[in-house]
Amino acid sequence: MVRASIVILKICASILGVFIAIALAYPLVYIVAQALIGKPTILITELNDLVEYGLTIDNFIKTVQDPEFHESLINTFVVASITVILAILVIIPSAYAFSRFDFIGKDTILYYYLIVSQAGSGLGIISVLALYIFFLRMAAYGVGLIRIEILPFIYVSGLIPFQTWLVKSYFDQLPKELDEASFIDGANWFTTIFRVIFPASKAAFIIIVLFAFMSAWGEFIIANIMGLKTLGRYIYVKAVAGPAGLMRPGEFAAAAILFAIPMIVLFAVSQKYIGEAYRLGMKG
Amino acid sequence: MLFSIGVAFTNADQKNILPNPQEITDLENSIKCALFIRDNPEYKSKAISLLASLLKPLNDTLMYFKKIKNKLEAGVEPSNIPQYYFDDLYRSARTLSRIVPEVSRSLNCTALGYPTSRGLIPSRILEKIDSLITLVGMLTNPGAFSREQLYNYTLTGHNITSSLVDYFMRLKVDYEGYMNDVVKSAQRELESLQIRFIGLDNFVRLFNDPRFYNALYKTLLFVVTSVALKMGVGVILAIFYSSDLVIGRKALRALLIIPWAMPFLLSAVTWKFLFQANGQLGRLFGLNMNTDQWDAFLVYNLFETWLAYPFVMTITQGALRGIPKDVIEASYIDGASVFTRFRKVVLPMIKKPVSLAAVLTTGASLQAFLVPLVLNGAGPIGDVCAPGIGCRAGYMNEMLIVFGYYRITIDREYGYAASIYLIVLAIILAYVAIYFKFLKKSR
Repeated sequence: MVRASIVILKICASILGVFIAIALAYPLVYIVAQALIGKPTILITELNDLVEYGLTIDNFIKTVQDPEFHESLINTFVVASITVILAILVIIPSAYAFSRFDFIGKDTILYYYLIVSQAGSGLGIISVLALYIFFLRMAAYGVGLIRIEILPFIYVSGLIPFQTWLVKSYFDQLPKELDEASFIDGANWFTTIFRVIFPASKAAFIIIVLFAFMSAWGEFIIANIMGLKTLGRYIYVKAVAGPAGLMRPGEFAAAAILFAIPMIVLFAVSQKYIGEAYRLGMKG
Repeated sequence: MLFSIGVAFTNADQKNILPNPQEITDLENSIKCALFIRDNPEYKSKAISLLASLLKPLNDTLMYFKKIKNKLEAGVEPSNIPQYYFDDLYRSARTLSRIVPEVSRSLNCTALGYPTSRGLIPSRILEKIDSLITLVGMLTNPGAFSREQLYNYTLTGHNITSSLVDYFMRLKVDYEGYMNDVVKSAQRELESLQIRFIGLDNFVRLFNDPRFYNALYKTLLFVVTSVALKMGVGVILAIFYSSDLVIGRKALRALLIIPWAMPFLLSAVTWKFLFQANGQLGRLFGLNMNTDQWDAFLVYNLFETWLAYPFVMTITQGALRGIPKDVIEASYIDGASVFTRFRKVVLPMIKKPVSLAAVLTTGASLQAFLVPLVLNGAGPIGDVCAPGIGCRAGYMNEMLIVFGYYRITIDREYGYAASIYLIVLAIILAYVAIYFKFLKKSR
């Protein structure tokens, strides 16, 4: 009797569980359906719409053919790549320095990084707007800084506080004896860093590359403030802030999904690293 | 950083943050030019004689207009007014049209070596002369008009001419005073193009702005409601999907972190579509974010909850997994009820990580920016009121960060926005201080 009631309870709970999970995942289903619908101008309101207009991939094809989409895609790709390279160039050496050396102001800077990285996104918006005002003023003196090439620098400076902590914690875990052993064996700095430290810190590289790429790819509000054409901004301006999205929801759903695919793939790949990263970051 | 703090004490706005260099040179040149014309005695006497030659036909014109006007007022039929009245009028106006270009040529700064698009004689005066000449041209054929029309035209011409006479008389008599006025007005305009230090004015303005109080109120309210929702949903889901009762938990959990895996922009597009007034869920729940501020506020809460519950859930799940099996078994043996078991065994074990998650997610709500922005631009637009301060049109769901953002992107009042952000920064730092205090205590 008890067993039977437990079984019934289990079945009920599982059904409820499936139901909740599907309800929460529903927006994804919806947007995919919206992207696939045969009539791009309609906003799906009932299942019947799907039956009536059918499913096609025309919306995706149309989006891909839009020259503006091309331009922003290329821009975004360039920006994201530069961001990755810059992030590696800046964050790895500085994290290594924070981990291995003592210098004046080290603790202050680390503490500052910690505050900034925990304060949240609002702070980022504030500083970007301040930067924007500064750029405008510079433009008044004839120094035009608002260009697509500036974005990676802004993105990387946004990444630095948290990522430096992360990678520093990672380097802290590598035994110092590793460096010392290499020196004792007669290696110079160059060899030590490139032959010993880098191979041992592959995971740190992967984390930085993934984070940097994803943040640069997914960013849209900074690009929008600066008025620079990236893919994120393209979708934001057209589909979210402007009226085009509601006039042709099918096409913009498709565009948003195309935009999202690389990030979802990277998210899936980076799942285990992200867990590790947060664990390391929290420690600090 | 220092720069932006500095900006908070200035009147920076769209006009002066990025002044048009052309405009500045224009103004500067017209000042120099006016000074030159004022102080050069040779030029002055030449200008004054030119003005005298301009005033003569002007006075003539005024006189003929007066004559015609008087006749009409005395009740003389238009056809009985001698034609030579109109011919004289026309002749004097012709003289005028010959002299005016000469005057404006000699009072032309660009010709004097101070290139500027601003003339010493304002364009409205030149336009008046033009229209006067056109009018007189029409009056050469008085028979074409009715009595009433003719009278109206004459009156208009008379008034225009007399105002022109006044204007040029003043220029001739008080030549230096006129030039001084030109210089002064140009200097005023030039000043408005330069950023000035205005002390604490921005802050005074901020504390008298109902929109600021509204933003503060909405933000704090949002923190309260959305944090409660996020934490509640996240913890309950974590406990539910950790229980042995649910079959296929692993697969379901993968579904549950979808909001986390979706890039924000895709979620934003999705939710915007879903919760349009004519969208599926907007229709289902009868919500209209574009007209009702509380509908919009509700959707913000739902969206924020949907975005953040995976984070809370994951942390709680991690904590739940950390509870040793034997502790729970021991509670079974002790005969504790489900509720007691939760309160006495589970809760103390997960308290720490869950409250950490709560603090982090409070920070996110405090700085809510993208959620209101993407869903409906923090609208709807309406009267934003604050008790004791008054009302003012604005976006009704502007949270603090959005408030500053809009002052920059819409109003382009950079100085004001910077002062807002100094206040917001203080609020965030206060929050961070509390957060660190909490971290220290929990260790």
